[in-house]
Amino acid sequence: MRVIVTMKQVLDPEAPPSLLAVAPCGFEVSGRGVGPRLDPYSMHALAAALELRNAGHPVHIHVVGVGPSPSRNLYLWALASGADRVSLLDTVSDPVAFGDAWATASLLDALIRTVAPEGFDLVLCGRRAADTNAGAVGAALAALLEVPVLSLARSVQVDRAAGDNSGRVVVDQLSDIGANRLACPMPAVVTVSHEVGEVESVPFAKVVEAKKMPFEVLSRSDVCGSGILDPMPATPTLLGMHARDDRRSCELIADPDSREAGRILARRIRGN
Amino acid sequence: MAEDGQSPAVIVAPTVVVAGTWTTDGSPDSATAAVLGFLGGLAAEVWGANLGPHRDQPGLADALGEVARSVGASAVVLPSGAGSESLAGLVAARERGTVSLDTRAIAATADGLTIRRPSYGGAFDVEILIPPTHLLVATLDTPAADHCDPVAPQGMLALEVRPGDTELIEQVEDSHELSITGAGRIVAGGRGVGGPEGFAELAILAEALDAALGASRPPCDAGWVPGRYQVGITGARVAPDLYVAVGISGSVQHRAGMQSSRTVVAVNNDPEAPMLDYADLAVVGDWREVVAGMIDELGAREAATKGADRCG
Repeated sequence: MRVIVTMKQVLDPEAPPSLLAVAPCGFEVSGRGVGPRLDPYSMHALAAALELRNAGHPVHIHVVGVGPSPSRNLYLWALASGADRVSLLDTVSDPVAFGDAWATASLLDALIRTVAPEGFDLVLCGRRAADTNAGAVGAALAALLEVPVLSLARSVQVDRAAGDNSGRVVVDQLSDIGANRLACPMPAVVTVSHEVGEVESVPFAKVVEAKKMPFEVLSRSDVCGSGILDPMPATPTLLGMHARDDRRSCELIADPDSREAGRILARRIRGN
Repeated sequence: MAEDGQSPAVIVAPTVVVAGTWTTDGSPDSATAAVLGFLGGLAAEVWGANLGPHRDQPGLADALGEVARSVGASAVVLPSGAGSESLAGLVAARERGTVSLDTRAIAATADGLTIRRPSYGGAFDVEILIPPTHLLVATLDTPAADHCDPVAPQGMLALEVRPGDTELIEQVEDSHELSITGAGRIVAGGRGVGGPEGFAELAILAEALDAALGASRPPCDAGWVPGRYQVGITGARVAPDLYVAVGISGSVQHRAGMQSSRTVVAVNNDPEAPMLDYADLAVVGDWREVVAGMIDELGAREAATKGADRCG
């Protein structure tokens, strides 16, 4: 079974906010001494692919990603964790506007068609990206790939008999009361939530070994369909970015006796 | 003509479809009413579309796109929630529109709609201009949606949901006491709680407050509580009426998941913990003593055994 996992490189979201600032261009965020990492949302997508393998399916995991100046070392970690191949599209010379989901999905579509011309059974994506928080690429990619999409899956299973080349994917999709168990025929795109699980950490030696595995970085001119990458008649315009100050006016309950402070706090909560 | 000879900018108020849930007597539920209130001063025309009984999201997305086109809508707006997040992405994909999750503001300008929505887990806002030819599909940030009197839609649009490739096998309803998604109250613990035993104590407090139990990332990574308890970028995004954060420092990663909470209470032994800056009410002290005092006051000791059972 061919599973494609979209993975993105982002500024470390665990960084203290004081180290992040709007870049001088006004349209990006830069981090003082903050390194990149693989998007935690993407890692859940990889976890879902590995879980399918653990469930006994013969899964070939192909990681794809779009973005400027991808870090080889980060993506080697994905290979060390169980991915079989990495194909990246470096957009450093022709960047995508921050949060332009359609442009990102168009590039992913072109990349997938180029590096996986044999097709795929599943594309797994994170439900959002930790930087843009857009939550739109998975559905847009499915529309461009012309396959169904199941979103916000907290579990992903494949229902396929041995020797069957089609089959269907079954997911538990987050709902406001629990989940909707949904199924659709493959190929399909599935976006996953954190409940699918985490990728286990791997020893550094495995990351070193991963350097021998298939790894390619393409440029925009290398991917098919690059001449039709803007399907939009008019695109949204990013006007600017601003750091937020969400601090609240905190009332401190001051009592030298912590237990008594707790009682006061409980009365205040009960009063609300 | 304006005095400077320039034509004044013409600001066209948009037509908006509010996709939400209406009860059988035709009144919107609270989340939908909040969206209607938010749009009160903005939209020229507000149409309603009842999502109530529909669960086939691709079919629903197609139907919403059709009704939006039928009234020439500039925007489809949904209440926040997991179901809306999924549906918004599908509608935007089908209509080649722009999805905006947790939108904090929408304004009409001469050039189109401008929106403000969070990025980097809420540490930054982005402002985006949506051209008039483009459909905006938005969910609203809870506080943004919840402070105006609702306007009545001028009509309801019937959704014709046709079956597609997706089959709904069944709906799974989670146990209320274990689910943080949609909970009205949450008691959450962080690294400062010290271990599984600390979470057993928090479970008693949660029981007393009729709250769900949550956690920041470190306790989940350490295996003190299951991963489904996690609130934050890598966990659930919640917006309860009350969020009690015990022993949680307040990283961007965690705040991204809970900053839409109506009232935030922090209990921490560190007076410099960033979480105190993002709380409405706080106690600095030994969390065990503070929580014990809360449990005493709430008369909840007798629920201890039941509460401790929730920490699995």
